[in-house]
Amino acid sequence: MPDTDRVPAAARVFVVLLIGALLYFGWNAIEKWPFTGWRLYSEIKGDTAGSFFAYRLAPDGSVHAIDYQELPDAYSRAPYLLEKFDRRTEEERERVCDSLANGERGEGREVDAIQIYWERYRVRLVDHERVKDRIERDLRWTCADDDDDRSGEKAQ
Amino acid sequence: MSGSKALRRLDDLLFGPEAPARLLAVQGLFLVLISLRAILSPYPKLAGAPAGLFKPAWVISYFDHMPPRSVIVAVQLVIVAAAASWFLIGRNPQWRGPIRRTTFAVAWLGFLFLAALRGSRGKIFHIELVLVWAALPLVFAPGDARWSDRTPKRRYGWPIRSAIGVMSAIYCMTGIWKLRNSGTDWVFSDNMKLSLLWGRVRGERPPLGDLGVWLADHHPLPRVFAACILLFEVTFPLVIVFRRIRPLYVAAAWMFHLGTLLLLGLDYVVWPCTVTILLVNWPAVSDRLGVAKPLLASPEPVGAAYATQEAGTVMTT
Repeated sequence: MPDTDRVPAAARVFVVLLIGALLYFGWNAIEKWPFTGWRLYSEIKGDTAGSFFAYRLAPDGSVHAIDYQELPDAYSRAPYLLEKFDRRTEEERERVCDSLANGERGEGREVDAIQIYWERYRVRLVDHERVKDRIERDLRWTCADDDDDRSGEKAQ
Repeated sequence: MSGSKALRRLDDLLFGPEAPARLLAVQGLFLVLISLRAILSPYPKLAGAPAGLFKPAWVISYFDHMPPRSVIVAVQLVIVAAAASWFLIGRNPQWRGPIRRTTFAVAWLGFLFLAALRGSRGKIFHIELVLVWAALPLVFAPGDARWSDRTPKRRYGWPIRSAIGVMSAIYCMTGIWKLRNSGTDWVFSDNMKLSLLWGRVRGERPPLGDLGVWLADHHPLPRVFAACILLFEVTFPLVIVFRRIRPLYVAAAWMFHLGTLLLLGLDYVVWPCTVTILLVNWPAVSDRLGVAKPLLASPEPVGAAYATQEAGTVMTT
């Protein structure tokens, strides 16, 4: 191999640091995107699973599940923000709720408040068919029920 | 094997020689994948998200809200223009080196930005990450590789081999976390059966959701699938050492990720694309099939280097 065919020292250092950093963030499950813990689907699935779901409280008192497919595309992943909703601060929760309320109003629907329910489902096989039942439903928060808009839109 | 030979062998795993033609093919295919992803993914639809629904990823934490559509479209156009420049201007011998390096870096940075936007919606987004990380060593690769040059050299080999190392670390880490969080129960419990039954907890049912239910109902198929997935992930770094098993891992990656797409509704197709780009020896494939010269070949006369073309199997050299 000719002498000129060498790997630059900087390249070696860079590669070792890069792989080292990926392993360090991965092993310690540090989530600083694009560094991540790579814990994809590492938890065992049970036959029950729960999550938070957002509903629109109409002026007549009726409650309607928010259909994200009826909202602008920018709202399509809003359910992600409902995951671990209980770990968010009060202000963060209000911002999410106000954003959802604005989205619903933008589609011409009346909103008195946004309600966040904890719902738990169970899935099972019955006669070779998949059956999914809701086994728990609990109202956890009512938000976006005042005149203050904390969605951040007015600030822009 | 003596100590120095062993050290050299170890060094070769990450920094060993590869044909310049292979580097050219890997860079070109990464740019095609990045461009296709940039164009086909609905990034512009991210615009207009209320600030309350924006949780910026660390790498773009200086944003306080989702950038407007015009910015996102501009970045998409920059990525495509950079890729096109890499292919077209990069063929000019005079400009080849600087243009290729600059345009690849621009395309990578643009893609990182778009991927970060998708990862700024309250959930860690892994779909584009394997491409982001595996393509990073290529940003620093030499820009003067020629398609006609099949002589393996270290300066063209280290970006490919280190990219394979990065990809292997990622796959292995996903498998390790399954073991750390769940142990062998990840395989030997009803985990996979229930995953198939759940499909996607939110959103539409997977395309082959009914087949997923059928599989879930047929013990021990779900456990066999789970075992294959875990084995595939944990042992992925073997591709660094054993070139002959690479075709197996390319095929396994496609089966695994197409399976998760069709049965679970999880679109990780970028991952097997990345695996394929890095593990296939494209010059050998091209030579065997007698195709793929037009865009990658430089206009100058083909040199004698071609005579040293590596022999061997298509995907294992």
